[in-house]
Amino acid sequence: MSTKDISGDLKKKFMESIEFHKDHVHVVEMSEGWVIKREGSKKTIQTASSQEAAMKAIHELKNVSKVYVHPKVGDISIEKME
Amino acid sequence: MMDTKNVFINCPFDNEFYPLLKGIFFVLIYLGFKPKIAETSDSGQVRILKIKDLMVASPLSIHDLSRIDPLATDAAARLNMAFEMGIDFGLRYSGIPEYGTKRFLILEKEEHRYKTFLSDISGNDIKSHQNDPELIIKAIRDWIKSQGQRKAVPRHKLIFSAFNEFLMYYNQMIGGEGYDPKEITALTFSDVIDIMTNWVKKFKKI
Repeated sequence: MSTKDISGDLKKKFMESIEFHKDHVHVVEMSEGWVIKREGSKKTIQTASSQEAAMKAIHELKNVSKVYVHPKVGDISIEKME
Repeated sequence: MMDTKNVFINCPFDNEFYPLLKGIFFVLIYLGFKPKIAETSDSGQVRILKIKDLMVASPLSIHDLSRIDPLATDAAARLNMAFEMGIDFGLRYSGIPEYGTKRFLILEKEEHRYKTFLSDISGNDIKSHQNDPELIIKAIRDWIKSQGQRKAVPRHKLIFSAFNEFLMYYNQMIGGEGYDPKEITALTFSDVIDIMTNWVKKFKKI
């Protein structure tokens, strides 16, 4: 098995591209429920009992342009808000 | 030379385990530790000697035995993890004072399963993660806290939600450059650790 070292330039590009958007919200499935938080924030907004309940709660929030849903199984999905 | 922040990681290297390995890296980096792991590529050095050097430099070790089963029904058991853990135990009980204080966290996929194949390790810190990155992050966070950390240790809920946020960033960046973020051999571990360390640093600054 072999791995690839990425070039210094590419690594620099990754490092410089880190941005936190306060209008992006993440919903993370955890053992205690679906945790809602804004990107870059260390505080949880709310923990909902289901994904549907989490999405409903997010629709009540102001200034949200994108929602990232992180289920335990499966890929991250993105929902754009109007 | 031991660095108090070094944590040696002994785990399987396969795509199925990779989400868990990324969780191990992330929680350690988040809590200010340095993951120490042998690269999968051959650098010319005898692999087991490199692993021994990492163990010697690390006061803490995480040994994952969850993939000791064969990959296929007709294949042999995967003994590397148990073998490496045995070497680390050997160091701890070698009588050399510096290594006598080494601490281990042993991870398994199911509670008490190890008793059927390695009962000699009873009495150590053994946690099951059920192949769930959240549980692996919680197990490591709780173990680090129990090692007498002076600094406050954040709850696993914060660390796991930050980990998910990192994954979104990582998948987009790596995928955008033509790498498969789910492929364990896509980038070297040191590259992944560097990218993660930088992300965590920026996340904590906000």
